[in-house]
Amino acid sequence: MKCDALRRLSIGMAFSLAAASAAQAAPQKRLAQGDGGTKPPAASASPSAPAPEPPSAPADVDAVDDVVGDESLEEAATPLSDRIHDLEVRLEQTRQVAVGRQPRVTVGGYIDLGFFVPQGDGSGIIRDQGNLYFPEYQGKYGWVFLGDLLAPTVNSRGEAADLGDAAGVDRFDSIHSRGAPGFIANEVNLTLTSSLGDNALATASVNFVPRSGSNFALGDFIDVDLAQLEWMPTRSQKTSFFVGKMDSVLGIEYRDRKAVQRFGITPSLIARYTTGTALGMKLRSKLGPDDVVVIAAALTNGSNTTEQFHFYDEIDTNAGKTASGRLALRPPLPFETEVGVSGSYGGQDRARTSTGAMWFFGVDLQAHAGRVDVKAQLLKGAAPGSPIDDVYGLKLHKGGYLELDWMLTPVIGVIGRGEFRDAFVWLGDPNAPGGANRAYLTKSWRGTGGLRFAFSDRIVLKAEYLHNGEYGGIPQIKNDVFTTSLLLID
Amino acid sequence: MLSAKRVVTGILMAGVAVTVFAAAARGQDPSSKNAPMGPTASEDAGGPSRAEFIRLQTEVREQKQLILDMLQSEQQRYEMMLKIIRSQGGTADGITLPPLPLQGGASGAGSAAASQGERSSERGRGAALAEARRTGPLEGKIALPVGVRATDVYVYIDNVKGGHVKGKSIEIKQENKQFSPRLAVVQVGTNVVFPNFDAIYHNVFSPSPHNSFDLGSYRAGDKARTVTLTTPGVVEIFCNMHQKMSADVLVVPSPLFAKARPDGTFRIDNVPVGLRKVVAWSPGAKTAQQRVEVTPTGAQVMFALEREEARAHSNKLGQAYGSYRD
Repeated sequence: MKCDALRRLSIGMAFSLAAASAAQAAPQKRLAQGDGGTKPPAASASPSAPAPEPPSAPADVDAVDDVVGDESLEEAATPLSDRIHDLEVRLEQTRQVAVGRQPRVTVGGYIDLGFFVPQGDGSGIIRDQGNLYFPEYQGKYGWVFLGDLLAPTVNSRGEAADLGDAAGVDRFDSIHSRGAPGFIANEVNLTLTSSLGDNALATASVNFVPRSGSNFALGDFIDVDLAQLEWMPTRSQKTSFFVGKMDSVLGIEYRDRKAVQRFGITPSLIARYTTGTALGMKLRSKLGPDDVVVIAAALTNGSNTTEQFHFYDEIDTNAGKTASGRLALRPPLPFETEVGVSGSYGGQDRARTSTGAMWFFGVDLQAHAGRVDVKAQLLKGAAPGSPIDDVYGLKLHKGGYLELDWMLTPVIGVIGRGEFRDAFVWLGDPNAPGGANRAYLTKSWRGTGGLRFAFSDRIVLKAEYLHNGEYGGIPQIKNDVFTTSLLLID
Repeated sequence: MLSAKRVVTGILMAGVAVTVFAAAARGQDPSSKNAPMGPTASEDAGGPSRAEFIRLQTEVREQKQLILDMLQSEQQRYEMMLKIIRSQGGTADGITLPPLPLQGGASGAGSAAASQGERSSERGRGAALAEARRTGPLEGKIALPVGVRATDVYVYIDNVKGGHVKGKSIEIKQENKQFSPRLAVVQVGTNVVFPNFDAIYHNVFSPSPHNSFDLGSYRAGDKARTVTLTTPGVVEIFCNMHQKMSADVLVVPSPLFAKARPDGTFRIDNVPVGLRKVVAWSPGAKTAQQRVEVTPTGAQVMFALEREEARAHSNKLGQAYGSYRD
């Protein structure tokens, strides 16, 4: 009896619930097609409807039992599997649409706006009239200038507030503030990136730089600072091969050369030698566990001086290409550390022959611990100059900096940097009768303090004060700068 | 006398019908999270947006999981009923409806047995006996390739569904430009919270096919963002800004998993008897799987993992990061 009751109960439940679900999920589908021709009462197929009485006749029971066997189970489940299938098909179609709509080129960039207040006439040099300070140069150089042309920098491009009125040269003085404070649109950057397959990346970075015109000529210019293809042939993509106009391998500051990359605003006093982008090819590889060794080597038209600097040579005028390289170690310490040595050697920039060699050599260090970054670099270099080609000579006795970047909170950060540059630059042959045309003697130091306000990942405001000082017998030049930068990113 | 098979079939049908009915009813509720996609606004507008695509993907995933859970559950109920009936001499007298498989833990011991009739202590003992008879331990050993640590290897049962856990969360921190921990194992339905303790921005995302997400950019001080992992499998997690940041989360379908011991051995208790798909996984190794017949007395399985060569991942747009994006 017990068995019979259970049987009736279970069959009844199965019957009513299967019928209800079938009616709900697939009204057209007939579940009951047994011998007795029993149909589920469609009217009761609602979630709140009470279960119908189980069929009492054995013939009906047998019929129902057959109906609700495995085959009808599959049948009942069909609408759901169909639905899943439909959804999956639609998902795949939607995915294809979404993938098809992904842009081939991604566009990034930023606007860098600023306000700066220079000291004095805005220039970083004075003339040593009558060889008052350095009489030893009398007769050897027609004009002797003291200080650093690019010391009163106002932006991340490294532009000086004013280049001064040095006689005998016709320079493009891009800001030419004459010491007046002013607003400036430092640059509008557009960066285009395109993935050429899984392991190749094409990048172009273009700066639009609005400046004052002169003599009916527009001052605005376009500066293409990157136009490169990066190919990563290995599965790990830890080795990259670059061609085009690309970043330097000298030191570490090139990584922060752009306004959006810099913690502060202004570049160091030696950035002019290391952060320029050059045309050529480059190999960079990270080796070992945790990339403990990084090597990079490049062959380029000229050195990695910056474009506004008087050594820059985008299209070479001699056959001697510049080879450069860097070896860095990342020792396994509790905090991120990288120490590196780097150098370059090649034909003198802008000279028409390759006889004179221009070289740089330096060491660098950077460490990251928590919210603090420390960066340091030392650099030496030389170029013989070429009087016949009107090309400057250089003796960079030494230059370097130590920078500390500290995010006090996620929004507010402070920067401190101390640096110096000891260099001699000349044009012409000092041993020729009448001497050389001119010389620039630099023994400068600089202390920089600044604040960074990262309001969001798209709005950053920075402010810096640069105190420029001189040593080694050079009189103090009034060329401090207060400058700000508002970055609107993407 | 009605055969035991018919009784079981009847009960099984009732269960299936209830779940199917419930699913159908839920599908007709437009306010339901699982409401099916009809002709959508995106279609009307000429094509789906990314948000619509993600929503559709989530819906499909949930529907699929629901059906899989239902079918798995019913299959297990069916098998169990047969075993109980057979163990009691083939009669259906005194049958107690067994608990849903794996509810409340790997052993299933925490689940209450729902009875169709009144409970009796005898029936309870019978159910407990049946419960003990339907699971067994799985033991084994893993041979490891060079460079893969045994303690980074996890073994789990793939074809036993434990359902989605509710309200369970784990935390993966972003600190010093790293994820911490870099390896986690969770059951489906677990929430993973990603707080950022760095002053710089990170953008956590996963391109893993069945658990893809993009949490956007945020930094220390911002509210930590969370993702719920709903589909079993390996979820690779990256930062869109820092290529070196990576973590792996293994989403397992049930609590039936174990971490290998330093000597490479492992043991998983309370594995439901039957043919089981056992999977051994470790980051840095190719996933290995075997089918093993688990009996109440247990089963043994041996794995030999092969090293998988590291490969670079792309950013969330599918582009390579490039050499300078550490």
